[in-house]
Amino acid sequence: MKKKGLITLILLISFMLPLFSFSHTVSAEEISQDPSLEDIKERGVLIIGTSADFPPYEFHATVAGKDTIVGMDISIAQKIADDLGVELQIEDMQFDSLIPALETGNVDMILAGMSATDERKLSVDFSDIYYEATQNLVIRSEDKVLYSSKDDLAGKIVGAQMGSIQEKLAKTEMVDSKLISLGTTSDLLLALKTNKIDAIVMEGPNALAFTGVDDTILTFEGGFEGGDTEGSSIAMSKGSDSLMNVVNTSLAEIEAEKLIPDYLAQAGTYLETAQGSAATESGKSSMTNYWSYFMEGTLNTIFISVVSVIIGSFIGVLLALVRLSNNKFFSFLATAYVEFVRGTPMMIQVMFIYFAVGYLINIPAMLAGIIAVSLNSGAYVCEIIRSGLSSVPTGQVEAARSLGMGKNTALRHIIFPQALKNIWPALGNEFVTIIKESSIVSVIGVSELIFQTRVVTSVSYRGIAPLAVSMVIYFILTFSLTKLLNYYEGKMSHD
Amino acid sequence: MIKIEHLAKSFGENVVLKDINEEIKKGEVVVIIGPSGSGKSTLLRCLNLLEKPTEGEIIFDGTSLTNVKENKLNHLREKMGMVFQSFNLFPHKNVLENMKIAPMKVKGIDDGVAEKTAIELLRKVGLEEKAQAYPSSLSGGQQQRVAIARALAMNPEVMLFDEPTSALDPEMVGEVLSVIQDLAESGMTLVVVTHEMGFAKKVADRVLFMDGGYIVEQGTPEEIFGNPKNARTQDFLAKVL
Repeated sequence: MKKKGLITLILLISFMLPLFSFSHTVSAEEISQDPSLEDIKERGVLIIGTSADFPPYEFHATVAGKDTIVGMDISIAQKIADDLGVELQIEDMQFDSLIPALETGNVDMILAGMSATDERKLSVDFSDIYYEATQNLVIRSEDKVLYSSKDDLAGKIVGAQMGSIQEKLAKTEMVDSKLISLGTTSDLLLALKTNKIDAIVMEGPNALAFTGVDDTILTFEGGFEGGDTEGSSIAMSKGSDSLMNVVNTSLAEIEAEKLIPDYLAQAGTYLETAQGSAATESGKSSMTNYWSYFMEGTLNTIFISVVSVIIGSFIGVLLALVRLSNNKFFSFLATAYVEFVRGTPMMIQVMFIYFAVGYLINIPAMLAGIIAVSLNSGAYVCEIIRSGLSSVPTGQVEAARSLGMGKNTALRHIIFPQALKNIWPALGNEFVTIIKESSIVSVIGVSELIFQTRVVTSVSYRGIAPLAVSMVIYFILTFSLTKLLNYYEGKMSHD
Repeated sequence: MIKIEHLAKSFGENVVLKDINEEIKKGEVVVIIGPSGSGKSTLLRCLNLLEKPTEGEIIFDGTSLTNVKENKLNHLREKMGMVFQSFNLFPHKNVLENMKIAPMKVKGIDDGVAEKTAIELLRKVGLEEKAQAYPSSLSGGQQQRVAIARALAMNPEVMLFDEPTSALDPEMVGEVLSVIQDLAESGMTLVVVTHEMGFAKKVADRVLFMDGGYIVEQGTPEEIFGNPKNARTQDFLAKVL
């Protein structure tokens, strides 16, 4: 067994190696020719990556009844797109997925209030700085008397966004405080309001935007030594000089015409209307105002799950048949596949498919998500079918074979129908699992239920209610599915 | 009809059959007896290649089973009906479907003809009224009679019985044995592995006594039961009779 595992590993690595070396040759070509600008003009669309939970830089707002991503960065991106004479397309994803998405060519540039750190400069190029902000601390209003500088928070818990400058500042300049890193600003604010943390390290404009619309929190300048000089820049792929020149020209115009304050003011009004419309409803924002967000998320979750289970079942049946076949080589490959998929986290699989396939062809996140979940599900379905088939007593095969039935006839008419009784419930459980697990595709920005829940959290400024709503929706989905499957299962077992 | 030449079978280190040479003639009723673990069932299962012999050959109707392709083997198995200790009826099909599936799917006989044959055979084993019943609703004796009828539906040239009454309650043994006896009297070639000595005495043309992977002694029932020559045969019969 041990030896077999080692061979599997070697085999897998040798499969993956060409993938990486190929990607290298692609980026090398890009540098020599620099088609970055020409590509965008030819396509007629500028694709930017952002993490839209960062007001006033970028955030979700309801504009003319439709969910839209707005903010200062978006206004800048629009200006660049206009200068290029192309359409603007926005890809919304988690902050730490942005640079991989840029590297793999899924987006042309990143506008996400991103600072040009030396670490990031290793993998991407940055434009001129278009905005410089202070670094603030956000605390609960009731703690006003307790904390007035970062040193007051010694021994307390501070939060920062994962992978951000603020996280680094907290690490280096607040060594006596305990740091908790979370994925989104909304999660951080929720943690602060529910007393999980005592302060958040946040960039000034965001801190002002959030505290401006919420009386229960307030902000002050943190007095950090680093960070203050770190301005926001636009990130582009290494070596895309032609694009860089155009972007810097646009940024210079913005600087000369002093457009940034206008952009911020515009963002502020979206923030206010978002907050205002929610507040007028019933004092606090009611979740019913956001039903369309949940609806879209739920439909996408159902869509991903149904499609993935169907494709996954096909893959699973195929794998199971291959595993049971006499061909040792293919059987071994199928076994290796199943073991590998079951032995790695689905989150990595989802990101790997999206970014790795992104090297070769640009596929939409939704498609990448469905592919990843299907491939994952296939491995589990294979095991379900295999164990279902082997649960049929060997006497049944012997009886069938002794009657002159061939292997396939016996499998089809005798073994499989009996195995189905065991396979069906397990397959149903797999479906339920997929509904829940498909939430992982939110990491690559697919707007399924979890992703939409985050959006509602950032639009409504409420932390717990959206979580409760999405939890109830998930439960309704899985519970009714379980009941439905039980009903059919009961119908099937007449004998 | 069936020729066994230098047959040997081992499961890993465990040698179960050692150099068996035997011939079963058309219309002959051969009963194999012997203590548990002597290799009786393995020998029987080698005859239709449910167990693959380690060495030697099985020759059926002039064709060596041990060297043929899968397709040909399936075809030859049609002619060798087999009845198992644990019946092995298909639980997801009713009695009639159990009997029809192989003739229809393997031989391509159409539904009507297969059904007619099935009903006839069910009448023969006295279970005509159970045609629509599912196996789980039948007694052990009834299930085994259906299993016999199912094997007969393929119109085999020989029937192999692997301890057909060992899993039955005592009161059901009789009904199954009488069906087998009817078959024997009809001139069908039978190979029966059994612990029912009375039955062996009454029905067998030839009795094989096996022990330790060998056929130790063989002869007519009168010779084996009346005047066993080998010490191990005497010992075994003294215990069971």
